[in-house]
This record gives sequence, C-alpha cells and structure tokens, in this order.
Amino acid sequence: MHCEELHTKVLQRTYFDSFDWRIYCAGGVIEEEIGTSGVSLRWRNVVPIETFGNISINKKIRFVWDLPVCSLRERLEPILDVRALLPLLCMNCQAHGLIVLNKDKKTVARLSIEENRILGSTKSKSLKLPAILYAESVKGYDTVFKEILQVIDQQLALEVDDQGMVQRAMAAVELQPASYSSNLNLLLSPETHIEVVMRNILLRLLEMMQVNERGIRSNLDSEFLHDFRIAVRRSRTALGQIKGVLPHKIWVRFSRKFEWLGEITGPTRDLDVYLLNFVAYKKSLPLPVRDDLDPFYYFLMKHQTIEHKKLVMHLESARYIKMTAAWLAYLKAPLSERTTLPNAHCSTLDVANSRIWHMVRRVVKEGEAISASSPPGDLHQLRKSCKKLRYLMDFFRSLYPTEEINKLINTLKLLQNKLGQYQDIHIQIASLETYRTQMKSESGAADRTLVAIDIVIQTLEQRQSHVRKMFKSRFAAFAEIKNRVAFRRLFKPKIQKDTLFQ
Amino acid sequence: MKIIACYNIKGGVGKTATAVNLAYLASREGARTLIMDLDPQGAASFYFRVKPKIKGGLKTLMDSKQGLDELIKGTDYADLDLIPADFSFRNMDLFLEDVKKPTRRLRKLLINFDNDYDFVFLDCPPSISLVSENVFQAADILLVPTIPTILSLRTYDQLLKFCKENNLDDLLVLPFFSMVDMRKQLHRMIVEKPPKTLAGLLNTTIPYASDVERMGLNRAALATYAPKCRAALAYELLWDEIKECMS
Repeated sequence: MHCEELHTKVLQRTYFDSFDWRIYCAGGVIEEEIGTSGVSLRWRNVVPIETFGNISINKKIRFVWDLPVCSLRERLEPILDVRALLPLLCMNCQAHGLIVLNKDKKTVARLSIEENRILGSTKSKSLKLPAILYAESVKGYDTVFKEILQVIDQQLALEVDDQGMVQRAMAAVELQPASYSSNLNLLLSPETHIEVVMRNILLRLLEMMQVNERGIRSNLDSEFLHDFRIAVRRSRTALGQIKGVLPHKIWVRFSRKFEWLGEITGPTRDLDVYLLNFVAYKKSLPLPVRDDLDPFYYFLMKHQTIEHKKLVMHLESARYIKMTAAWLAYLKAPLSERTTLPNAHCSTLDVANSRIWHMVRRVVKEGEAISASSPPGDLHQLRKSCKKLRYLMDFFRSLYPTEEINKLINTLKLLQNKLGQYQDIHIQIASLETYRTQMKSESGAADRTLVAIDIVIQTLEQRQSHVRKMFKSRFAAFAEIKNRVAFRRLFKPKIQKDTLFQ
Repeated sequence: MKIIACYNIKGGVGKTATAVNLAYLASREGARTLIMDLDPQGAASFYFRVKPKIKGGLKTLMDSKQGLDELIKGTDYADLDLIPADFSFRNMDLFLEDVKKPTRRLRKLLINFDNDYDFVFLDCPPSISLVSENVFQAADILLVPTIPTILSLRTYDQLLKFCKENNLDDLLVLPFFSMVDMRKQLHRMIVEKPPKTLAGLLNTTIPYASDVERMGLNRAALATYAPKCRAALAYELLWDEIKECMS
C-alpha cells in the first residue's frame, strides 16, 4: 500500500442558499466550484461532510428550473420551490488530492488536503481557515481504510473536525445560519401586558418588512414581496383585532398606512403569481396550441417590470421612508406606566383567548351560512376571517400547548388551502379576462393567443367549480365536533370578555 | 434509477468497452453509477482493477437479500461502483433454473439499489439464455453494440424475434454500430445504408480503434487516458444520444 499525489487544484467555491435558508435547514448548501475543468454545482451536506448530485454547468443557475433534469434538481425542487439561490460565501481553495493504492495499483482510499481562504471579507485576519485533511473510504475496502485512519491518528495527531468547513467559514465571517424565517417564532409570557406584546409583534413584523426590502428592490425572487405582504397583512390583523391598546390617533394613522402598503404591493404580486403559474397555464392547453400562449408570457413580463418599477419608487419614496421611521420610533419608544388606553394592561393570555375564540366563532358562523348558491364574495369573506384567525393563532402560538395548537393550525390550514384555491382561481379568471382585453388593445394580439387564453380561462372555470364542490366537505371536516371541542378547550375564555377588544 | 444493459448474443462486439466507458461518463457527470459485471470472464472487473471474485460466489450474489451492498467495490473513480464478476457466474443459468420466478431474480436484486444509484450498467455475457432473460426483465434499456457484419445483423434479428415472442414491449432496445472499420467495404456499406430491421438504431458509431484495446493495458476508462481520441469522443456522443432517448 502506498500513497500518490494525484493533483493540486486551485478552485473557487461559492456557497449558495435561499434568503430564508431553506437548503441549510434541509442539512446542506449548494456549492459552485470553478476549476480548470469548468464549472460544477453540487449539494454539500453541512455535517456529515458529503456531497451529492455533482453536475457540470455552463450558465448561471438562479432558480431550480434553470438546472437541467438531474438528481440535484430532483432534490432541490421541493426544498427551494420558487426561491432564488443567493451567494453566501466565496472562497479560494487549494486542494491537494492524494490516492492510496494497493499492490494492484487500485485506489483503496482518497485523501485531500484543502486550504481555504474566504474572499470579500474585510477582516483580513480571519480570512484564512485552518487547513483540513479529508479521508474518504472507497466502498469495499473498509479494513484498509481503518489502517489508514490509524496511521493518520498516530503519526499526525490531528484534531477531528466535527463542525464542517462551511459552518467554520460562516462563523469566521459572522454569518448566522437560519437567521431569517418568515415564521414569527415569538416566545410570549401569558401575564405580560398586551401593550408590550403587541409592540413586540409589530416590531418583529416591521423587521420582516425591512429585511425583505432589498430583495424586492433587486427583484431577486417573488418571495421577498410575498413575505413583505404577509408582514403587512399580519400588522393589519394585529391592529384590527387587538384594539384599545394603541392610541386612537396612532391606530388610525398606521392602519391607513398599512392599507396603502397593501394597495401598492398588490399589482406586482398578482403579476408574479401569473408568471409563476404560467407553466401550469401552458400545460393546461392541448399540445399543438401551447406555444400560442407565449406572447401572453411576454405581456406579463412587460407589465411585471412596469409594476415592479412603480413599487420600487414607492418603497424609495419619502412617504414610505417616513412611515417606517415613524412606526419604528413609536414601537421603540418607552411605555409609560400609566395609561388611559382601555385594554393596554390586559394580560396577553386573556386577549389571545378572547380574540381567537371570537374569530373561531365567526369562521364557523360564516362557513355554516355558505350554501351552494352563495356568491363568491361570501367565500372570500370567510377566507379573510380564516386568515385573521390564523394570524392570531400564529401571534400567540407559544402561549398554548404546542401539539394541540399545531393540530388546530393544521386543520385550519386545510380549510384555508381550499378557500385559497377557490379565491385565487376566481381572481385569476377575472384578471385573465382583463389582460386579454388589454393585450388586444395594446398590441393587437394574434387571434390564436387570445383563443389560448380563452382555453386557459375555461380550464380554470372547470377547476373552480370542482373546488367549489369540495368546499362543503372540507368545511365540515374543519367544523366537526372534535375540532370545535378542541378550539373551545384551548381558547374559550374562562371569564367571558367578548365585549372587550371588539 | 435506470438500468442499462450492454448485451449482444454474439461475443467480441464491444459490450464491456461500452459498459465501462458509458458508466465512467455517467459518473463523471455526477450521476451515482453502478456497473455489474455479469460475465464470468470478468473483463469489466479487470478494467477497474478489481479482483473478479465474490466470497461465496454466485450463491452469495443471488441469495443475498440485504447483504448485496457488501459485494460492491468502489472503483478508481468517484460515484462509480462495481459488483465484480466471479468465475461461478458460468453456472448462473443452472442456478436460476432452480429458483422461483427464474426470469425476475436479477430485477428483484437490483430493485434494492433504487435509492442508491441513478444508473446501473449491466455488462452481460454473450449468448441467449436464462441469464439474458433476467437481463431483459431487469433492464430499462438494452444497448446492443453491433458490428456491421452479416452475422452480427443476423443475431440482432434473433434478439428482436425473441423480444417479440416474449412480450418484452417495455424494453427499449437501442442498437448501435460498434468496432466500425470504414476501410472495410462491408462495414462502409452497412453503416451507410443500415437495414430496416435495425429499428431504433442510434446515430453514433463507435470506430474500431487501438485506443480502445489499450483499455486492457491501462486498466482504465478510455476517456481517462485518451480523452481526445475518436473512440472516446464517439462514446461521449453515444452517451448524449442515450440520455436523449431516456428523456
């Protein structure tokens, strides 16, 4: 058995993840490697140090659909979904590859010594990482590998790296993995005054809006705007559902401001959704006419660019900057011990119970009133109530036993999905009809494109009617006795305070 | 997982060279690849510098329910593993005759690797037998290297007839010309105007080349020591064409 040097490679490696750390949360990062033999992309596990799905690429990969059909794409699709890959770290690596051969000159183990240097960091002292020796066994030669490890251990006395190079590099540049999540993850105490908790909730939501601004401005992916809008909607729900906690003037002022934010972000989000749905629209068409829909894609792209520009202008406007600064100043200002606000000093648990229970009853009442002949508006109203209930449950989740509240949230999610599907299709049909007219007047779209849009609308109508038919059973599953009892047990206030917080 | 069998009733047509070189190309692209050397001559094992020997022989291979993993040997290349041949494989037919569902035994074995590999290449022994039937049942693609000679074309017809008679409709049979020597008039004639019976014939032809013969000397895949030679480039084209057929 002897060792041979195979190569010394100078590589540039860039590590990628989505903004919300989806890949890291799934145990890895995406590694792009540029060397003399070209550019390759692979999945690298954080710990244990393993790679998967190595693939040669010849273009920049931003979204999962930019990848050719391969095992890496298959693994990434459900994880990354519509999020973009964003660079986390860029490193220069000098890799010395060695192989251990047996008497037949067959490789029985692989060794690699890697010296890594992080690029683009301002802290020059922390740039160079300690060199790492990797020892990789070859299948079927385990006994030999044990001997090799023994030699390394006895003669080199190296420290075992249980952290992994990627984590080590992230720590060196103070990059905190999984530091962003669209979940609120608030840890609340039941006896705290609601005015304190409400500020914390709103502050956290403001932070979420602000961290997503850069991604919206650069149009990195559609989820930045999506998360921003969720933070806006959650803020509106907090303001609308937990009353008597903020001074009336502030409440009126910021309720209007958040309503404005909802309005200015709507058109871009709608177009994002249509663009994301485009492949599905195309697939719903018969094969020979699928390409006829392509002009519609360019139409959507054009309008998305226009609306996105308008949105960026709004986000850079004095109005928006002033609003967020004033909101932050208000939320961070110290609270006075005395207050004239009627509910400011109520306990968080009382408010949570009262508001959630109130909203549960409203959802049940609205749902039960919906019949086969109810107009779509009634379902939309129920969807809005469900969203409010969901946001309230998210705000106060930590006050309740995890398993029980999660079970109820999942039950609610199923109903929301069905209502969401129905409402989304309803809006899509209306919008597609508007876009169809707009396309015709703007660019004199070809008849075959208009026909293709008509077919998409027809398919959506069929799906809408199908989803509508399923509403009854889905709502019945949500409102079944077992769930009602669970909601009651968890949220019904001990002392009826329904008149409060209305 | 896709199972690609390199098969021909005739011997000496380039089955092993095809299996070894394509498996190498697949693994070079990052696909987790396994090559199974079913030929008792053990040429594929030899090319990969692995002893053509399995502890316990054929019985271990066929009886192994969970232990098949232990037979696998890593090759000199990342992402490319091998199940070596064993001289006892010469009795595989006899062994299969005595088992239940004798034509599906190989399929049953390989199904265990569904999550571990993207491609499995089978380097098959020549002849048409119970082993071949196992190959036909297990494989998604039957890759048939065919020398442009009359006898080779005749064996291809025999193969097609067998597939038809045994309702192997799901098996994608892809013949291609191998060991083509365009200096020979007959080769030239058949390649330029292939017979209509060669349904699904791939466009790529693998030339007869001494570089391929040197695989035995170098005990390595062609692309590792002569990456720019005509035959190495032809194997790359062939692999691209097969991937296209699969997609």
